[in-house]
Amino acid sequence: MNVTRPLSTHQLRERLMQLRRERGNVVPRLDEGSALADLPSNIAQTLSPSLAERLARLRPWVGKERSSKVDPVDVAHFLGGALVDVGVVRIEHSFPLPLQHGRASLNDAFTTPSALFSEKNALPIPVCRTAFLDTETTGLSNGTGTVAFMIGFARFDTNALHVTQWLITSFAGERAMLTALARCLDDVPLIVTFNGAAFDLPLLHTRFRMHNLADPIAACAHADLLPWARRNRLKQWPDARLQTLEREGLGFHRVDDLPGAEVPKAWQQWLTAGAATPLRWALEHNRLDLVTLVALLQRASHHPLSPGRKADPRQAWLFERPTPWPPVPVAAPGSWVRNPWVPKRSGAMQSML
Amino acid sequence: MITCPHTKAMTLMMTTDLFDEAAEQAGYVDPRISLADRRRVPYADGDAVDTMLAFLQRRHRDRIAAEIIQPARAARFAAFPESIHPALRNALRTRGVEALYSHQREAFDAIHAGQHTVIVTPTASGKSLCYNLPVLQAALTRKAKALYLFPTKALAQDQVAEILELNRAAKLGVRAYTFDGDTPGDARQAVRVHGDIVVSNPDMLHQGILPHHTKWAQFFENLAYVVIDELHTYKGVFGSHVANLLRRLKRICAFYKVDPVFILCSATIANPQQLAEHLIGAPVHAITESGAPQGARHLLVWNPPVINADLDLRASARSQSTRLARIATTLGLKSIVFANSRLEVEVITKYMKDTFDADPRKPARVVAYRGGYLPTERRDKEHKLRAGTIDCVVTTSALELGVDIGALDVCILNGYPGTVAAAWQRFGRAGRRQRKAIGILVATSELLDQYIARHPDFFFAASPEHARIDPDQLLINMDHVRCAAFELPFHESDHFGAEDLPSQLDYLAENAVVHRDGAQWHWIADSYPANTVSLRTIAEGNFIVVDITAGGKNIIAEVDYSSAALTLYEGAIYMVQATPWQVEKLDWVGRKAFVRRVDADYYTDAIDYTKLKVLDEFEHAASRADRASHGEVHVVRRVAGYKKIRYYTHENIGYGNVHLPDLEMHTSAVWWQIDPVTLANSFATRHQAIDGFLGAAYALHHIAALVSLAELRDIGRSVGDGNGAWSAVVDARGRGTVRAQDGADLNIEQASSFKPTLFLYDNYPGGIGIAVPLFDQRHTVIERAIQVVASCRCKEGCPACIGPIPPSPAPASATLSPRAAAQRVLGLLGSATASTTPGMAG
Repeated sequence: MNVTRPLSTHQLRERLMQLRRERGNVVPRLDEGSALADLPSNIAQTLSPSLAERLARLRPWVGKERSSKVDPVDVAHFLGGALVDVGVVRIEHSFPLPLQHGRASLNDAFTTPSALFSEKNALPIPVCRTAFLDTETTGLSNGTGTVAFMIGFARFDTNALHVTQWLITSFAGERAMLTALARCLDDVPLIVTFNGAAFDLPLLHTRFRMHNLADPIAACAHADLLPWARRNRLKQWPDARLQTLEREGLGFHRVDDLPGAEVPKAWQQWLTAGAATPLRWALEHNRLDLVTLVALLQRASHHPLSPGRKADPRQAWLFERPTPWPPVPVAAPGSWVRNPWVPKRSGAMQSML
Repeated sequence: MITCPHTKAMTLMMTTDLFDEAAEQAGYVDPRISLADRRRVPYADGDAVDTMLAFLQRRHRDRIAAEIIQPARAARFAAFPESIHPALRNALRTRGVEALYSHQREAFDAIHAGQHTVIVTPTASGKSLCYNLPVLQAALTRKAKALYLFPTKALAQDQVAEILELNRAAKLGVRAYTFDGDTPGDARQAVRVHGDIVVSNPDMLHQGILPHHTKWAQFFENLAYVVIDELHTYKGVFGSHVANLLRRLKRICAFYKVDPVFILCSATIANPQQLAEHLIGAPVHAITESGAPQGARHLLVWNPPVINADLDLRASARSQSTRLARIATTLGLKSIVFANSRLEVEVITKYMKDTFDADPRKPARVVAYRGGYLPTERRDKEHKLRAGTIDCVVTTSALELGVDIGALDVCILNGYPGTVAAAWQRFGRAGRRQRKAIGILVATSELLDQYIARHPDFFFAASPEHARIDPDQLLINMDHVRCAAFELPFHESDHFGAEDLPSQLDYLAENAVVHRDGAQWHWIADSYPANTVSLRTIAEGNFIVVDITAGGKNIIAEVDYSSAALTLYEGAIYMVQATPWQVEKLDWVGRKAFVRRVDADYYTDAIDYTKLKVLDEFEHAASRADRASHGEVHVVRRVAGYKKIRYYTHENIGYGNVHLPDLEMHTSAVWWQIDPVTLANSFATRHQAIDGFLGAAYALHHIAALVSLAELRDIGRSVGDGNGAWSAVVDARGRGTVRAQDGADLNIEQASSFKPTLFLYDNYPGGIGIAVPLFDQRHTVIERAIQVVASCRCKEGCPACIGPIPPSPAPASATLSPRAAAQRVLGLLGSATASTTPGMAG
């Protein structure tokens, strides 16, 4: 039973023409005079409302799209990386060790505690086989509609910390990005994240499932530093967020950083307006998060495991009694530590169009 | 539906003992009733039912407008299918089930053959076994999983309890879980991974399952059956949403490469097969012959006595219903009273409690059960009903559904519920299987009720209504296109209903909700669309009712957004179990009403009015005198005040003002206008014309509900100016008053333009497709309205024709009576014979 009157082809064409008219295409105008002739004045101004009009009237939204067509190689270059697959840009950075991050000095002298793997796998995992992971996403909600458009991946070798970032410039690149990540996780037994248990890893799991790919993360152990941070933060710190720990605990102050809440917008602006500069800021933001994550693990691993705590065998080692953070001098704005490798977020937004 | 071939069984059914014997011989015991329950609920004394019938027939023969006997029906059994798993058979045997009813076997065979199947059989006919059997069979033999959807959480819990009992009986090892808002977070993972049968509701599927389908990957990969019980509730806006929800479910199933069989169960409606097919978008096999036994049922149409012949005014239905329920309770019969509004439930409950629950130390014999009570209160009442400790329950449509409420003898309908299907569904709640029952429809003085009292054949012979859905209603469809885009990207070649999907998605792309990437559209907005779409109402946010008596802060009830303005205005008397509270403060933004316990000898009833503005005319038909159209309108509804009504006497003892925000919606409507010159020639004053329009609107509204097989409340009526400049309502004298846009009185005789318009509109935001068929049937509607008004025996107007009109002090000849005015308007509207002209012409 159809309760909507089927549109005649004439009406359908009219509605479509109207839709196209709104998109800026030129279509011949109807002779509206004849259609209106026998209608009294107080009824119906518009005779054939388009879909857009009907919806706008019922539930107005705002915003307009401008589609973009730019050479993907140029985009990759602009972002400081290389186009490695259709829609995938890979950006590589290497930081020679030791690396100064705030007052923390990163080196490869620490290993990740082995007790993490309970009795089953008690071998110590050298830090060079540990992967640090952080994603930037299209939104903060769970569910299948949220996509990681950027994956940051960091790993040590003997003399440097290597940061690899994949950024997709279109949805077509997602599969290749995930495949590349999976390849990098091949020989990684441990992943370290900040809030990955609740957010990044389930999201990546969903993305792998959506592409019908096996989830390589399922085979890895996972250390989430957020619970550790919650226990070890000092009371006077406002919260246990990554940037708070970084500022208060490590004495590292970001300048001109793209706020995390604006990261989804950066990707939207790229898609809808072709704006690539915000993507560069998002890349920097992601890189900083990763380096801080490494520095936090180094601090966390300074507290050796006291045996017996096994609420969650994967994370028990991180939950030990807090030891005091080194005193942080109150930083005057001028004395903020600013790493030379962090580019400044400034200048007018540059469009790739 | 009233004829039954199994008259032979009637004698068998006369005594319940005999039936028990027969049942025992057949080796069949109803699996739904545990042995303990059967002992606890004694079979009613057949004599008491006969006593009540005889009493009514002897004393009130004149009030019985019609009487019909539905004969009893014997059981028809069928053998278990050969293929059935031995463990399952064993489980059923331990529960006393040795054979299947014929419809259960038929369902098993059809479902087993992979056909989508709808089962339409009466209450308590062993419907759930129709789906449990094939589902359990598949779970045992091939690890298949099933998703059960019930419209409410309570029904879901009933169902899981039943499966678990069957499961426990023979250690089947099938795991059935409910998954709803109450499922704790840590249990959810277990449900997703281990559940063989997941019992949920559409809202949960919509917000909690589909948007997270990857977490359910294992479940979906093995999903073989989707069971949808209480199919008949999926109509109107809700049904249209659910049809779209099932489109989304099928997309997800396709992603996981499964094609589940849908099993649907419905109460009696005219088009179960069609509704099922429309809902799931595929052909469905229908099973409509029940093999379950059924006790005989005496049905009466009860017309209250005339108390004022001039006005053709009858005693109130409420007092008659209360009286009938009192007789039943006194005779030791268990009864259920259905009222058509929550307010009515509370008033009748109070009257019954005044008689039977005067002693507060004794447990209550009378309870009220309706929507808006807190879940714990409802569970408690359900439990007491099943345990048989309640003698009379007063309820709204809330108990129409399959909530197990034990066995009842008498069912009283306080007023026609608005549809044939609902009336039968309600009658079905009494006299469940093996015994004689009484059903009484007490007619109110409303047009529909009196129509039925005068033409009982109309009711008894009428086919039940069609359940209508419009899955392609643009707003609803768009909501689900958004949700679906979040769940899986759309491809160019995809379809999602009749609307042109690419233009819908392009529209979303323009608004940065999705992004087109090659042949696909991907979700890009930073939001979770399912949270902003409610399947039940378009408006958001329930109100909670907070009791602040003696400094406390207890939540005593919940009220949905659409009825809050009508029940929770400041000054309103709000009742729970007939106990009155008064609303002291209404926090509209915070969605809270603060109430205080009071002792009031009155209750309150809201006065509201509606004005409409035409946005688009899609089609019209015009003659020289009049013009009928349909199209899109903007409706504004305002609660202007309330009346205080004293208990028992029902006199008006005061008014109060209400200041609340307007409720607005866009919907579709049919409207009529009369040429200004013709109108001026036909009526001496504009006021007379307004009276005529209001009276005609009343008659047309009721007839339109009958003709379009909709419920009265599905359609709204209004008389006003086509562009919303003024609107007219009937005042306390039964005459039209005109209000300007700002709500002030308007002197219509002085107004510059006068173009009264009579609207009948679809009473749901966006419309559910009532207007177009109504426009097509407008000649029938007007002809029937003319007949009804012409044949009415009242003088100036009564509820059975153009609405109640109190006697006017002026002699009838001096002025045109509202009824005559309405007849004149209807006559002018009926003159339209011109052919349809699409609004698009040209």
